[in-house]
Amino acid sequence: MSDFDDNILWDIFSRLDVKTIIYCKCACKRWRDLVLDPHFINKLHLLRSLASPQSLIIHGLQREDYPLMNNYGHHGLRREVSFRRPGFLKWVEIQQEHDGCQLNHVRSHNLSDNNCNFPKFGMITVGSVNGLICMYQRPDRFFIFNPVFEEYMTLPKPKLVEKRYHLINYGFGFSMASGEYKVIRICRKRNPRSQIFLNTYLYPPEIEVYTLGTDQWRTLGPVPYPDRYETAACSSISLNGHVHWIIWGKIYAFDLDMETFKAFPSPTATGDCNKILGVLKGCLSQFSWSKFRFTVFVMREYGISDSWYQEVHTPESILRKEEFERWSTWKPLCLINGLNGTTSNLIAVHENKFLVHCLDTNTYVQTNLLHIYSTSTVMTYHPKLLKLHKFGADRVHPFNKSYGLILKFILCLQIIEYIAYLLTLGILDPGGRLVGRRLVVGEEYKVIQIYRKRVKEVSTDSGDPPSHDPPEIEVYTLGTDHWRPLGPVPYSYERLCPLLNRSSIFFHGRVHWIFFDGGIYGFDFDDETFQYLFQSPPSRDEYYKILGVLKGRLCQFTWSSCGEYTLWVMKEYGINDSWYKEVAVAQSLIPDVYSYWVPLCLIDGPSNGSILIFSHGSVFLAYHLDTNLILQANMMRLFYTKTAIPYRPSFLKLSNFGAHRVHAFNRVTTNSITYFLSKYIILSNMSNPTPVA
Amino acid sequence: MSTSSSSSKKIVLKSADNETFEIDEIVALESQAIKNMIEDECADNVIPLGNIDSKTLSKIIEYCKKHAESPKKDDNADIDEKAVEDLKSFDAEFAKVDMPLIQDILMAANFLNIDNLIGLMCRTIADRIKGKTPEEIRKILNINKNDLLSPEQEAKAREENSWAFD
Repeated sequence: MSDFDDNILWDIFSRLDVKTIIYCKCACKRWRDLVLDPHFINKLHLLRSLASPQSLIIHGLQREDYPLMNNYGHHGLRREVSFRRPGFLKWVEIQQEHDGCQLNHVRSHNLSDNNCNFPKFGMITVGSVNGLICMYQRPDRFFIFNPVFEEYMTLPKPKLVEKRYHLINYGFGFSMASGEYKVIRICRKRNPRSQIFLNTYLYPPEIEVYTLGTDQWRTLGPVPYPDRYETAACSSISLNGHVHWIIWGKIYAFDLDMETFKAFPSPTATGDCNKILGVLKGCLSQFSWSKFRFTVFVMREYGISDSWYQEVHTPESILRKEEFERWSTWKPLCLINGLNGTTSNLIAVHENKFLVHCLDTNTYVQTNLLHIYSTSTVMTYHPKLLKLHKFGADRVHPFNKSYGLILKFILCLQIIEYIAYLLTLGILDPGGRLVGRRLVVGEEYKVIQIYRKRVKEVSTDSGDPPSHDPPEIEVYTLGTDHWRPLGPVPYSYERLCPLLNRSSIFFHGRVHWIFFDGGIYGFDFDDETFQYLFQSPPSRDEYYKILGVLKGRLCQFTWSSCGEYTLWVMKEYGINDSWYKEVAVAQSLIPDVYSYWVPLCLIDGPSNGSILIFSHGSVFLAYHLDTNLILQANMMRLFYTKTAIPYRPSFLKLSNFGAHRVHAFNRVTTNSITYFLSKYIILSNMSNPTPVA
Repeated sequence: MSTSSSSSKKIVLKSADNETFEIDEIVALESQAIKNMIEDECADNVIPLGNIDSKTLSKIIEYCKKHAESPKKDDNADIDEKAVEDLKSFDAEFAKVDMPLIQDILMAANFLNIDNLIGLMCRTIADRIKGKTPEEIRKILNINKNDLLSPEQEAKAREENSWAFD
């Protein structure tokens, strides 16, 4: 390949997706320099690069930011301004599947994270152009993000300051003619106090522009902005050297080259009061909707009023009357091209579900992206290798990167349940209540069930509570044909009442459980006996305990509802007196919003310390016990997390244990299982417990 | 230009390994470089192509023949859709060769200035390295070992877009 001239290699690069271009950048020195060459980036790469999968940038807010509300308003109210945190930016790629849409998580950035250094105010999306995302933060801060390089830049302070000016609208756009990126603010000078209740204004709206790479904002004077009482603005659409907005149902545009603001030809009115703009197949498009219908207009020739073409009109949308109640929280967010290039799609959220609605066929698919906090905006995103440094290196900052702590878990519970299910197929129903059923790992792989006989409800005449037989134990060794009953255990059922939802811990050749009597019990794999092993360390509430293994030692984490917790370590295995309080915190720093936290499992920290994984509702967090810090950034929502256990992937084939019992996961029929299997839960971008000064 | 098929002008190309190829002028015109030579009237004798071997040259002639036969887009507004499809499937078949030959063809197409073929070969290379790791790309394209990044440089290049390597 070394014989080829630069133009040929650029031609090849321009046909690649961003990820492969980055791989090419690492292939050799010449390629690295060619990929980063401004000639390539600013010409071929920006113009072509259609090969990247369609991407979206989702701006969302953590749910705990607004405790009293669990739905978004469906009248297009943009309530995010009232929230006090910047929220997160999530980059997802859209991938078509035979019957739906897969959204692949690429990267999330939690802007509310302490390490990101953003003030704790709400952020709003302004626009997305050529892989650059513009965000606005009250009162007058603007940022440009490039997720590909994980960097952002801060813009200078505007001249029309918040103190004297009221911000009405904002936009972000790119002009191919000049190669310039501009941020636009439209403000109105505040009325004197005495005029505040009159519905008229003394001052006309003014416009102010910042060109990326310059030092200051430029004021351009008054603009013919529709003279009505302003509501909050929406994100802008940049196309063909203009930035477009819908303002009071009509389209307005700012010409980035001429720097003029004017009314733009709008499609004929449909009577729908809700509208959003988008770009479909390179054309400016408008989606409008009312309760039971929607319409898509496409401007076939840019700027020509007559070329507005009604592409789709659906008098009876998915919002059929009988379903309306169910769909009342439907909120269209953004238009995207159909995945096969012919149809148009709408991204919408409905309650917590993220939907892709195919407008041409009026069908929708639910995506795998569930529970996305409260989504405030979604923008189409075209990842680009544009470095912000060219607009002024002194304004550019990296997202604070983690120190390499990227934890990957597979929610192994589902796998285990499924295996356990396979194993129990064809096996006699034990006929008793299941007390514990665990799959553990040793030299042999065994599944253990502890159960007791059902009690017949007959002896009401005696008045005594029915007495229980002691629980019995049954073992299955993987690779064998049947379960082996091992007879009753030498303890009463009352004593072995289990702590629900606690996974067992396999350690030192034994499976360990904590039972309600405060004892730690174990099943020994070698002699197959079940016995009381030792006392578990005391805690305020016997219920709040979990076992774990940290640095090769058995540990117990205890906590209470009043915020104290203790990490106990058994220094010498089996010696009751060696229980040692490694961490004791009287009042945890876990914020109040996590007061209903549920500790799930203990894992070793990547470099040092111990990490507790816990869930709070549907939020999944890691907690660094030694420093009392919550390690979370992209809090991936996981429905409602029940269990998380440490998992070590292996190449062990299940067919070693009997090929006739092994089944492939069926992608179509067992959706929920494949979802878990195909998805890693990635806690990336973890905060650094020792922030760099 | 005469369009009579029977008496069409012939052009003779000679490959690096001294094999000669006689082709119709219309086929040769697919190459902008040869077209220029013909227009400058310096293509009367054999055109020597000292950097293209016969294997590559015969592939290129195969491509040019097919494309010269097909109706051009700007010739007629309503081109036969079938012809377009036909050409597409020809291109797809044509590109099913091994990587060294693709690179030879690309090199030669660049020399002969055959725009469509350059595009086709670039697209083919792009498709073959799409989603491949740096190591795989180096292997597929046999990148010069003397030009590799030092471990520090590579670490830096990866760090810059660490998300792509997760």
